Amino acid sequence: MDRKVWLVLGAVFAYLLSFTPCDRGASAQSPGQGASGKVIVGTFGGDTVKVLSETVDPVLAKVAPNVKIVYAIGMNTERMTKMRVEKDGASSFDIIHVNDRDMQILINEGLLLKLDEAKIPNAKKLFPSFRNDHYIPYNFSANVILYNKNKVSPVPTSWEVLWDPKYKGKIGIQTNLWTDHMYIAALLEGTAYQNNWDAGWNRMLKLTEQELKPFSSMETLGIALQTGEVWLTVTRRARAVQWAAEGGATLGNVLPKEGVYPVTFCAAIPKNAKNVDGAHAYLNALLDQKPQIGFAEVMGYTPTVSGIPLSEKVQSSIGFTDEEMKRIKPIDLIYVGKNDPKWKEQWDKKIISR
Amino acid sequence: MQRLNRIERPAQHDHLMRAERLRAVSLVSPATLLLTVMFILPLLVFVRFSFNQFVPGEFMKTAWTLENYIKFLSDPYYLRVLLRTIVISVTSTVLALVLAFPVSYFLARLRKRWKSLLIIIVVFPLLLGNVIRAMGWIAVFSQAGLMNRLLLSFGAISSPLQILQTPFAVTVVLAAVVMPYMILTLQAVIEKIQPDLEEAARDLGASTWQVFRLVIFPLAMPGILAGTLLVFVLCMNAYATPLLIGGPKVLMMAPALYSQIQDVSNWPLGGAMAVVLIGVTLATSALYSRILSRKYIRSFEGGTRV
Repeated sequence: MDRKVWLVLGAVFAYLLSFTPCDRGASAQSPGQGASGKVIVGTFGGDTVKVLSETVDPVLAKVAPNVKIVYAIGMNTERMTKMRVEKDGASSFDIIHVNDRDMQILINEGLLLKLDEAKIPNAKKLFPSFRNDHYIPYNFSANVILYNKNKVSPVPTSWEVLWDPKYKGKIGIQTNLWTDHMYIAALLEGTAYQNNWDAGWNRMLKLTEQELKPFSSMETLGIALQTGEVWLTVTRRARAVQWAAEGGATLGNVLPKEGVYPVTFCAAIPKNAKNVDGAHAYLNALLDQKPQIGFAEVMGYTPTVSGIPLSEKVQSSIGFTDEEMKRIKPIDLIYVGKNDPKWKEQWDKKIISR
Repeated sequence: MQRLNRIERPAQHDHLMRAERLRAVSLVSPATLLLTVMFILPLLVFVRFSFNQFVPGEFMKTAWTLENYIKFLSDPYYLRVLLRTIVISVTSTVLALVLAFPVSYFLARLRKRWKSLLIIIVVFPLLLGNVIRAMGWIAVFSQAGLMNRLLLSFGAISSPLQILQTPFAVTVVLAAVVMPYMILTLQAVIEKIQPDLEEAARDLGASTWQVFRLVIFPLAMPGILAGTLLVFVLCMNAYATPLLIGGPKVLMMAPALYSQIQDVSNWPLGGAMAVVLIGVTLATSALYSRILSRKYIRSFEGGTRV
């Protein structure tokens, strides 16, 4: 064939090719498509990183095959410290994972990038109470009353059961849940959503009359529950289900009628992240069906977006019914963040060391 | 005399000495460098943090303030934590010493073939993490645990005792955790005490107790000093054991300061607590080794005078 024909054919082919990406981009609405390069994700180890790499990576690989995800595993404090010391330079993370309370602290310190919602179309599917300008809550759980079915009767319906003298000496308490218990006391006083949790303090003090059994580690509390040393405790539903499945005493859990606040795990982009486009694409993938189902099935944490089809078994154990969802109300994290250190000190001194 | 030596020393010897010194410096410097970069510098940064100001809900503000130290030292709650840490550490150290001494003596006097096997057994617990060992002790001490079951079946008690989350449990478990260090340190020193000396003492009519008190004990003093110091420092800084066995009711310094940093991002207070802990540990150790080494030297001199 003539060389000119080749050239013409080549030009036509190139012209046709130039159309395809635009077409695909418009139809799939995948903002991650332009993204490339490394996305460094600072996250928790164990099940979290396992689920992330097995579910988020393939989703992202489909829309943005040029993005390479690197997981940097560490503890909350390590990540927050790194962000603080790298404040004035480039961040070593493009995505960081912490819980919502710590996210609020990072926002207060001005370390997070305001998210570009146009680049995270899946964020539109978030339940309204989970929407936030700076971070994406990607799964949640909420506190429940975990109880020994053979010892605690009738089945508790209210947080008041913690103050029931019948269970004196049989209530286990996780020492790092001071915020949760301050909330419960304020909720019973009716002041939790008026940002006056201190009004519940006298009620909290009465809790010491119950001869609480404090536990500094989840493992020891788990053993105490399973051997019947304690009958009641406050814990996340995800954890409650896990303990119940491990054997020992028959454990049930209930979300009390007064309600509770959600505990969410979130991801965000540092203000000084290097790969902002890649990070947005990652956040979008995080809310995809696959990871959402993964978190529920492997870790017992519930999806934060609507329309995720969970198996009936998973839904009935860790899920929250529509009626329960109505009782899960978020709290003012700015108010909590400011008062939390003070509450911890009160809690350490007057409640759990007694 | 020294001068004479120098004049007489051939030049080549001088050269050799210099090479020797150079080698010594080059051998020591990697460790020194490593310690400076990875240990002393971070420590200094933390000391600096302890003078910063904590802002609840945020992080900390750069400042030069003593408020964190004042907060710690003026609060009976925190002072109790410090006192508890010292008392438990001292008790655990003494307990470990008393329990380890016979074992070390036995080990030191054993024939070679059995010795290495027994030393492996002594060292074995160090291969497991502290957390794993603590979980084992929980199985022994919990309300449904081995100890309560035994006591109940013998009729010694009518209802299970609360053993976990008591200073007693923390002291016992801590002593067990540090025991291998104590045994090995003591054994190394006792091994060097000539059995002939014991025989000589016995021949001169000394009872077993007298042999121990007048011969073995003073001669093992360097080992006792080193062992107790090492173990005391380990106890003062213990984290996993007090956290898991003692919980919040037997709060000790390391878990307390860690929780300030981890739970509420209060680095300044955590830093101040760390500085206080290091300071108290150093001061106690220095005082102790001074008193003991002075006493040891005196008793040793007294011994030779007889």
